[in-house]
Amino acid sequence: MQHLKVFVKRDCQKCPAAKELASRFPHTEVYDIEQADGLAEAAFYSVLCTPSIVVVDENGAEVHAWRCTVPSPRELAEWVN
Amino acid sequence: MSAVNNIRVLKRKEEAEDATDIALLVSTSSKEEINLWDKSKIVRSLIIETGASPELAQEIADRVEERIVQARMNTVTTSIIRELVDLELLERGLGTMHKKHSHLGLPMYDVEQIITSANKENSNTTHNPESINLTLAEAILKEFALRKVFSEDIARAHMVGDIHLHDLGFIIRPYSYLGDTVVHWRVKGSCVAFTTTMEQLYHLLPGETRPEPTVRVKYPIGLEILDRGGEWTEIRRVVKKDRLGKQMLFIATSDGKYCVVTHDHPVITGGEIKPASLVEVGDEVETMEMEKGRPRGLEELNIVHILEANANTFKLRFNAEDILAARQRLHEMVYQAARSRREGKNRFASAGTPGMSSSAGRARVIMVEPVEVLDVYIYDVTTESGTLMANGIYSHNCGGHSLDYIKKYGLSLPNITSTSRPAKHPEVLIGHMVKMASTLQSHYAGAIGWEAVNMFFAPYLVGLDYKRIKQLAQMLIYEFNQLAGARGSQVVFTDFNLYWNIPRHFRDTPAIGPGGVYTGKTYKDYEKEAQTFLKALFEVYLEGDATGKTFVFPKPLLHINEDFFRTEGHEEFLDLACRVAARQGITYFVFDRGDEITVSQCCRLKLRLKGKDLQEAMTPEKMRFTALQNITINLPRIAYKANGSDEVLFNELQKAMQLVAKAHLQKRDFIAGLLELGVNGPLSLLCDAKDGEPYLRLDRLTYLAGLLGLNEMVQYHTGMQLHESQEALKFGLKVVAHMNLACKELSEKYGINLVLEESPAESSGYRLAKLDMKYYPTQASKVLKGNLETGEYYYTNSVHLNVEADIDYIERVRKQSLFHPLIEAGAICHIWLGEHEPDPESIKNFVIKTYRHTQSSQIAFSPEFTVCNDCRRTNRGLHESCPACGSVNVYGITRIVGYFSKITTWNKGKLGELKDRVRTDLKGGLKHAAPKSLRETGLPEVSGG
Repeated sequence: MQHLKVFVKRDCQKCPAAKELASRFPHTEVYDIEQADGLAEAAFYSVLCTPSIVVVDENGAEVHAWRCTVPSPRELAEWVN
Repeated sequence: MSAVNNIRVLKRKEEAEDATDIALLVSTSSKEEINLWDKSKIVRSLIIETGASPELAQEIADRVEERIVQARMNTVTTSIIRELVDLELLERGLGTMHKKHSHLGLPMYDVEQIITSANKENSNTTHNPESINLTLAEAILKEFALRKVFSEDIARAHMVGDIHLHDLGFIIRPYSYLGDTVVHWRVKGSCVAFTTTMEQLYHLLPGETRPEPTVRVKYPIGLEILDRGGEWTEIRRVVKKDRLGKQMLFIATSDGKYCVVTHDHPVITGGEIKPASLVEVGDEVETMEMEKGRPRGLEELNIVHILEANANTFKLRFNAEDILAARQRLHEMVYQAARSRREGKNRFASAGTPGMSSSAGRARVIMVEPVEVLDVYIYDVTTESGTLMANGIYSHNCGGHSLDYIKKYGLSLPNITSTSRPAKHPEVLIGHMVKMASTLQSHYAGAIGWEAVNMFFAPYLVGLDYKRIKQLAQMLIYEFNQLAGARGSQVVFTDFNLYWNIPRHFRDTPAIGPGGVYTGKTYKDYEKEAQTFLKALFEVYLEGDATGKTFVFPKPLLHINEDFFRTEGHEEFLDLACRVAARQGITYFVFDRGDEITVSQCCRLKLRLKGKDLQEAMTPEKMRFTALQNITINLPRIAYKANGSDEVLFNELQKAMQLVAKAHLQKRDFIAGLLELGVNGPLSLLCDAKDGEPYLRLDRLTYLAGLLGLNEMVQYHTGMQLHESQEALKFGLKVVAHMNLACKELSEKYGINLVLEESPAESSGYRLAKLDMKYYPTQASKVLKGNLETGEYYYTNSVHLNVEADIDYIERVRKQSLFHPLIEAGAICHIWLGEHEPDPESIKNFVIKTYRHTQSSQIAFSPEFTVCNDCRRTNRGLHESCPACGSVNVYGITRIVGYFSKITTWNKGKLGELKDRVRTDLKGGLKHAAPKSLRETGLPEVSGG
């Protein structure tokens, strides 16, 4: 089963859109990269900026990622299923 | 009292009042003199040194005398008297006084040890008379620093090994103008000049950056400011700083000009530069009349008052992208003001002759007085020439050192009695560079890095044939490498940043050529020469020294970025760089993933070259990166204290970070105190105002927090090492993320730029491991690496994976690189090659893969060599005897941390690590353990090396 990891931070213009988009899918985790847990998770997936969305498999391995951008709902859907 | 009168006092001649006298007396043979007992000397010394009241001092002196009489001593030394006084102070609970009164020195045994056995704290130090002096001096200074510079809690944390305070470092001295200082500026080449205050100029400019909470900087594009002799010079940046209560001085001249500057602002008087506080009435200054003479096609607009009246209307906002629009807006403003003046309606526009030319004159300072000002901010303008006219007085401002700095200004250093003009010939330039490096090294503890060396050299190489260029490359490398001979002790630790493609940020930078003159071209125009020189440098590195041995310094840092792959000839050059890496190992591959990172406007975690650095690239002479001090945190210790509790662990980590910040602030205060001594103080070079700015700039200073032993911390806390499970790796990332965020928080709180660094930890890795074996033996022995029995144990460097881990090198680099974006001040992945000489093609593939698929900041490939003292041959791998001639008179060389050195100079911890390192030949993840001889019989002994 695939999970979505969404990386956001405060004062980030596109982050709400990314969060909203990801929330349409089940199994979504949101990480604030200004918190140690979020920043560590971001580093683990080589996320250097927000917003970023990473699709991972059940083992936590990266399947696909949009770094520093927000994908279209269709694009995201293609990868999540 | 007859007993007292008979006491003879043996005194070391230490009454000298300055360092020179003390130093001279030390070397004389008769160091002692015999005096008769005089109690009043104790009283006097207590009052002077500790600030004791005369009554208390007398009481203590009485008591000491009593003890000496009771002990029936006929002869006492002054050090015994001092100790008896100390004892009295301690018994009375006067700890602070005792601290002030204490004696710094070394036991006889320690001195003997230092003289007879080599100090292995840094393996780039050889053992010789000069290095003995250094070690002795350092021993005293370390003690001094721990007692005097740092507070007790920090000194204690260092002594017990919670943290490690690295060597002495850097310095800064901010200075600036008051905001209402009047300057004259224009759009480059324009016939209209503006007269405004510095404050107004600042607010007219777009794009504020904030390198530190108290410092704001703007980088105008295409603006010039009036300089000496009516010349125009380009404005590089305008800085607005919090004044923070700095004392301001009012300086007035005989021709009616005045300015208000900070007390340490460099002022040019009679051809020399001195801090404003040293300017005296009667000193000659150069001034300029703004409104005399007829115009020569130049119109001046004094808009000081217009701006004051219409602060908001005229607030221009533009950035690099819409510079054209901004210029248009400026012109609109100009015409509007000009029209209103012609119509005679504007009483604020410059009165009198409408034109502006300038006539230089000389005037005398008639007044220098401290003034109280209400201004919260102070301003500074950095120009291309390093000077400007401020309130009509010729002044200096910012500068810096780099190759372009020397090219432009020549060589003039306080510790060198002669002054050189800018070099006209490349050989002379090399000479200047070497001397500059050697002078800087004696002031700094760390490496001296030179930016884009091959590019800055290029204008000197036009028209030279390849043979000559190769000769110059050879000279440059040898001169730097052999500088250690001249200094007598430690090699000058040098990094050369090198580029195949002219980096984007230097493309449009005006090039400085022979004689310090701008050539009229930009560095982009010298790409071919820069490439030829780079090729020549790498060919020299490939050949090695006269015996084929690898060069240790200067370290070539080859920058790889997207443009590199787009630049013609890169494949061929990368082949060469990889051949050097395979054969000699000396190439460092530095990855600048600028494109990817700069895209992230919203919140980038890291920039290799930060925005302000990129903007400063137009004045490369100012570019350099310096740090005040590195303080390393002993991470495993925190895990021992936490004993499995996450909460305690992160609390302790936070406490340690707080301690690091506090130590940095104390060090900064101490250095600031030394700087207050000015040009006659020990740091005159660093406050040298030759070009108007100290070599170290407060707004660019970095404060380093180092990491050590993350692997052992995670291992103790989670039961797994970083490479053993994803959970362990993630926990490691969480620790470093926590530290990264703590750095940001503390930076904000204290107004400093605190960032994480992978501590090289050449000696601290061993020292902290030893201290943990002393204070936490049960815990430490579970996770320490190396051999506990032989004492060759260590903590794994920074965030690196266990050097012994059975893990493919690509995977190792990938995992370690996950940490790199969090470690802003620098990180590296080592690939230990051992005796293997991989195919350069494999190295190339590895480099490209690392660049494309990881976040690694830097990688280096490290082979091992055995050098024979008899046949002078260098062979691959570490051997007990020379594979060529069989001689046992050999020594081994490989990278200890970030540089190559003789293994015999390594400390025990690093020797332990060397034995554990997993070597690779880069072929499909094959791993090779340390050579058998190394594991079982120890390392090859040096004989005569």
